[in-house]
Amino acid sequence: MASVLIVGSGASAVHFALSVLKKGHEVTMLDVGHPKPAALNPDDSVNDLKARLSDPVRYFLGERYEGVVYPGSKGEYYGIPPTKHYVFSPPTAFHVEATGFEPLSSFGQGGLAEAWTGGAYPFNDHDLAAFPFRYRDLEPYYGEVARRIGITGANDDLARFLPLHAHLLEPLALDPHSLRLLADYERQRRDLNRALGCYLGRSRTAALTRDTDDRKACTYRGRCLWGCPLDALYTPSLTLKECQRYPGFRYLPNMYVSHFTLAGSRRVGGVVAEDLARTALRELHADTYVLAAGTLSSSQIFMESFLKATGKTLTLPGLMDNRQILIPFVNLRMLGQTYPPESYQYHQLALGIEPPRPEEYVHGLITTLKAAMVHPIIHSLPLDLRTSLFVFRNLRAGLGIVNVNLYDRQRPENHLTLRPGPGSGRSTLVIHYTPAAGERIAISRAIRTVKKLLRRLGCLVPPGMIHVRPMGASVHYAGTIPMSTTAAPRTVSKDCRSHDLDNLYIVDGATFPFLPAKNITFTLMANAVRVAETAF
Amino acid sequence: MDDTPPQAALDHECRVLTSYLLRQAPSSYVLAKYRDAHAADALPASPAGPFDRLLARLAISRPSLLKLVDAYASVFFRTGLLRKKMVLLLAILEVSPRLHACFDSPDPGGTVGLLARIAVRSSAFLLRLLLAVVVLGPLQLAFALRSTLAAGPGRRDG
Ligand SMILES: Cc1cc2nc3c(=O)[nH]c(=O)nc-3n(C[C@H](O)[C@H](O)[C@H](O)COP(=O)(O)OP(=O)(O)OC[C@H]3O[C@@H](n4cnc5c(N)ncnc54)[C@H](O)[C@@H]3O)c2cc1C
Ligand code: SF4
Repeated sequence: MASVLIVGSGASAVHFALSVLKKGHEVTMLDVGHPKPAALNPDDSVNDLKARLSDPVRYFLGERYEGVVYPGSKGEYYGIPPTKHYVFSPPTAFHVEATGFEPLSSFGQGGLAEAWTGGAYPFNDHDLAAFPFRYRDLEPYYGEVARRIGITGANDDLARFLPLHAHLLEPLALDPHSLRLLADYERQRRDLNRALGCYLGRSRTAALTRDTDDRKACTYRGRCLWGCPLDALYTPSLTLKECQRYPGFRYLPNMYVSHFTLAGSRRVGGVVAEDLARTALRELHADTYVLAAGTLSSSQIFMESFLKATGKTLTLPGLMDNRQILIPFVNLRMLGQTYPPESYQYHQLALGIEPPRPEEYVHGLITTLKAAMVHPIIHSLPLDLRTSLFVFRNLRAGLGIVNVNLYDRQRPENHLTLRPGPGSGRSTLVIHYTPAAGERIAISRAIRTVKKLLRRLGCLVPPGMIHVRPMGASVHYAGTIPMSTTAAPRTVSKDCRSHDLDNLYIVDGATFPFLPAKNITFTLMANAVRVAETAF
Repeated sequence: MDDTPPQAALDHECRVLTSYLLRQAPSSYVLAKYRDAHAADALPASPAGPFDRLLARLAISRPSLLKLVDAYASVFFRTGLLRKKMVLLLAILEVSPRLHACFDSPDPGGTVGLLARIAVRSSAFLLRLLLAVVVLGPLQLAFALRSTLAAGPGRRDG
């Protein structure tokens, strides 16, 4: 059996690894891999933690109070909690420079999805039109990933956009506000579908509603944002643990990969990594190499390999990300009600907007406010702080936010390149992004439609509070080394094998030739399994 | 120069602001965390100008002025020193034992009563804001004038 060396331990890497391990291959996984801290008081709810921890401020705000979101902090309504900072802390040698883009990278065990919000939405044939395969080719792998990780959902109005794959679990219990929104939608469904092209339904969420052998079903403790202590909310480090049960698996954390060495012009000979524990360089070898370090890091390693081998600086065009728009709302019908702190925290409803052209589908996630850090919301209200707190407390059960996602397509002006470092040192990753010419129109149209929908559901959108997030904020990066049916340089085959280097596969978002508005990670995992099953 | 106020002053500040925001006294845990946050330089470094510093001083030393200053800052000094201190305190309070409940429950009363109270409180805010503009606006202008004069003629950047 072949020896396979994988870079990364994120969602793409671990599902690829698990599939090839099941086939009997030897796998070495190189990862920077900052580990997850142990969960405190796993049986406590979020409010129990506030009451019972010896130092709750340190838990929720961090040792240096870095979890406080001050006025003027870029219009975000929530921050990454200190319990998740390990996910994002970079090695000191990592340098990035970006224009028009705010990149986020992970060097944690399990990658970015250790901090994700669990939205798991399959692509359909319209979304896959630019891919060299159809939905039916991916469907078995969506089913396999759903079986592995647990995905909840329902056969409802959203099924017209979200195919129903195998192993869908029954949905999570709805909180009262989400229940109300759904009921109000159902009463006006025909009209909302026809007049606005809006469809509402249950979110597809990577959380368990049933116990499995290793994991407990969600008990609605409301701690999702700080890290689910029961592992009911899926994160890739769980699959990493599963890989570690295979004797043929070797996990090497603290390894910061720089580049591949080339053996001749078309093969990888080895991989060079800095052992961060010993501050020494190591070269490792295998039959086959797999890049799954996330679109930005995989692209950087790919470019650095050519730079080291040929002295030439590559440019990788086609970087994509979903533009996200945050639309906060107040549901006046929930006024004066008590919010339920013990409920699943993230979005429980999703929204699909029928587009004029199928690839322009607009996807929305509707999160009602439950347990959360609320000071950023309070200080963003246009009142003095005492009045803001009063208004907030009384409206709390009726507050929510729609996170609207727009599609993106590859454009040559959006690219990655390297600025070589001094001597043989690390290069800086350079990112350029310019929005498409018609983007403002698409943003305004989406905002108008969602505002109309919310009004019909009895909700108000407070003036001045809509926030168009910067590019990079959705962290659905894709498109820099895309799948192509022609063997062009800097592309991969349908099986995600590099058209430049015969024994290199790339199995993360870098290979996606189009980015629909749907969250990408479920498809990253399904595609990684597809490659492992069909090419290995 | 160490700008951190001494411990007693921070405790006083924390008491004044907590009772203003929550109508409750801070626990010893909240007092300790408020102090600790200042010692850890948790407030984002900002070049607080003399008027900004004066607003914060006025609000703390004369709690009767706090309402006025808070209203003024909510429009004219949203990222000013006083609001930053109050937001830091809100963040501490919302996760502190017992006091976190002040963020959770609505006031008693039906929907109509609540809507009426929200309307009354919002109108009261507008009135305070108006008064604050009359009282504090000229003061801010005077400070701006003084610093322009202190910069002297001919000292232009660029
Ligand atoms: C707050 C947040 C919420 C999100 N919510 C959702 C959601 O609801 N739904 C959804 O679909 N997506 C969501 N995402 C996006 C999702 O997390 C990513 O799409 C996904 O994690 C990408 O997986 P990946 O395996 O391709 O790469 P990554 O997650 O980026 O993993 C990269 C891995 O490679 C390792 N690595 C990187 N560089 C090197 C190197 N040079 N050497 C060695 N190892 C390296 C890292 O340690 C890490 O293990 C969210 C992201 C964030 C941050
Ligand atoms: S509510 Fe969130 S944190 Fe609690 S058990 Fe469910 S998934 Fe985990």
